[in-house]
Amino acid sequence: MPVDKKDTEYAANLARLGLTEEEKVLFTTQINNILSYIDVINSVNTENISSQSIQLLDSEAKAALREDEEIPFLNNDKIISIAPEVEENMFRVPRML
Amino acid sequence: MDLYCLTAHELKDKLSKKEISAVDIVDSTYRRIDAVENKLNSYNTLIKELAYEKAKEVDEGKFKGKELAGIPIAIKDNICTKGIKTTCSSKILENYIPPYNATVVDLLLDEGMIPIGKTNLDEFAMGSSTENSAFKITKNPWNLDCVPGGSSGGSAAAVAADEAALALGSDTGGSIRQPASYCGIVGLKPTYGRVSRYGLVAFASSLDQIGPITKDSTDCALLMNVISKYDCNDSTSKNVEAPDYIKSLINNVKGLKIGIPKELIGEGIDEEVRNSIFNAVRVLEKEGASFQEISLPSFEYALAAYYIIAPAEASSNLARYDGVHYGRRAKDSQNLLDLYFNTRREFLGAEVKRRIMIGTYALSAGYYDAYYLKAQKIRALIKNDFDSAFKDLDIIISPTAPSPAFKIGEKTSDPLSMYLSDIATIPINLAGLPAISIPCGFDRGLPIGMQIIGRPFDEETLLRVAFSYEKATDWNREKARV
Repeated sequence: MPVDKKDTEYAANLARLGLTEEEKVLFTTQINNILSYIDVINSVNTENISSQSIQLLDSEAKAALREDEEIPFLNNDKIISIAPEVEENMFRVPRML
Repeated sequence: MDLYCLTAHELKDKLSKKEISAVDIVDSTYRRIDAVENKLNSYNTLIKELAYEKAKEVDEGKFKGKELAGIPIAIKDNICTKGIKTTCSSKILENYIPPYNATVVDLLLDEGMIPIGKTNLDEFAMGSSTENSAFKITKNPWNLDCVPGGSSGGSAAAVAADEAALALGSDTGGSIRQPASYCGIVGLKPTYGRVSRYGLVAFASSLDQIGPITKDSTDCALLMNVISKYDCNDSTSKNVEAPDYIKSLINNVKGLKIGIPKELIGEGIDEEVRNSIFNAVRVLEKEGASFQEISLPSFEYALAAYYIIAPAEASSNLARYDGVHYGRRAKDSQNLLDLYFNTRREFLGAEVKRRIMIGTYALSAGYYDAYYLKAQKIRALIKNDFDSAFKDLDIIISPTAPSPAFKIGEKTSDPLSMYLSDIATIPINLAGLPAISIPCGFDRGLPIGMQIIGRPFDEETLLRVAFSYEKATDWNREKARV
């Protein structure tokens, strides 16, 4: 389905991407070309593939889990030290509204 | 012969006989970098202090018994290195110094390997030419007007030009194999889950894998032995014990059954590439293998499925680059929302923005079923096609890329034409299979690569075939003259 500049603005807004006016026009064209190519997926018959069959197997999901265990995290200072702006041990940002 | 010209296993032999020291190897490597780096731009950062520190430890005997102790390695700059800049070739991380090592980096250091530097890549591993790097364009050592491939172009160029004995890259849709093919060297994408992704800056979490980029299959096997370890820090790491890959380096392909998918050898593939692949398969046939043409019909849709799934996952993974916790932050934002918009506008590149938007669009309300869910179902069809093929076959062979390396700037104005250079590599990532690219010919001075695809966790067969082919031919002994 073709996208227009409004769709580009909508996606950019959702993704918190600031775009210049030129980028909005250029990306709309480029993304349309890409989506036209991608539309070939509509010609594929995937009736035999259920949504359940493409989900992670229960056994695989369980294998990745472990018991909650409290472990001290010792790297706080290093994490804070690389932040753009900090106050004490907090990340400082502009006001919300 | 200068030490930098040698493979890792040749250096290892000289070290074990005490003919050379690890410091000698590091000296030679940095001399080589001094001589050619200004032509190639393989590296974002060189790490001489750490390199010499590790080399001295090796020479003092700290890593006795370790196979790759003292061997210089280049590391793609999307793999976290503690205390050393890890930029992903993006402005947003140009000042990012990770407070931890990726698991693979810890494994390299425990082995006594010598990290030489962090290599250039397409920004956040999104690209097929390394032209999307925010910092510099890496050149192909075989022809400086051409791209080295991507996104691990810096790693591939460094190894092909002897600026490191071997390298680590990452592969989401072909980013190890395609640059290995373009640069005339070996690149292996392991089975999904074989190598830990902990500390690999995520692009598409269900597709990414770290893997070796090396001068030959022996070096590839040696490096796979180091990095193929289960890691509880990566929830997708598979607890499947890795074999000793050196034992798979046997010169024997008798009885091997090879399939060549017609979808990857027909229209869209350069004639010289097609000829090289068939010549290569005939070499294997002379050595006792057999081949047949097969059809994997779902491959026609692989690229489309990938360019929904990968951007969708990327749009989620890159949401963290918001100027709050690390990396660059735009100045003069009036409120938090502005901070996000301004930071991401100013510091993310065009290709990254494009993929985030495609991914956001594909996941958004009203489009999720039509795009993302449909793409995942196609992914299942691709996996099924491979599973069926591997009932009767041992390996599948195809070109790694439709053509040799293209000229710098040739595809930058048309993103879709760039995406098409990954047409042969992408299905393998979607199915989570292992695949290796090895050199098999030249076209007008530019290398051609053959891709060998295997069953899950059967990197051994890939290495055996690669080793056997190397014994029967001379392609991997050709060197770029930089």
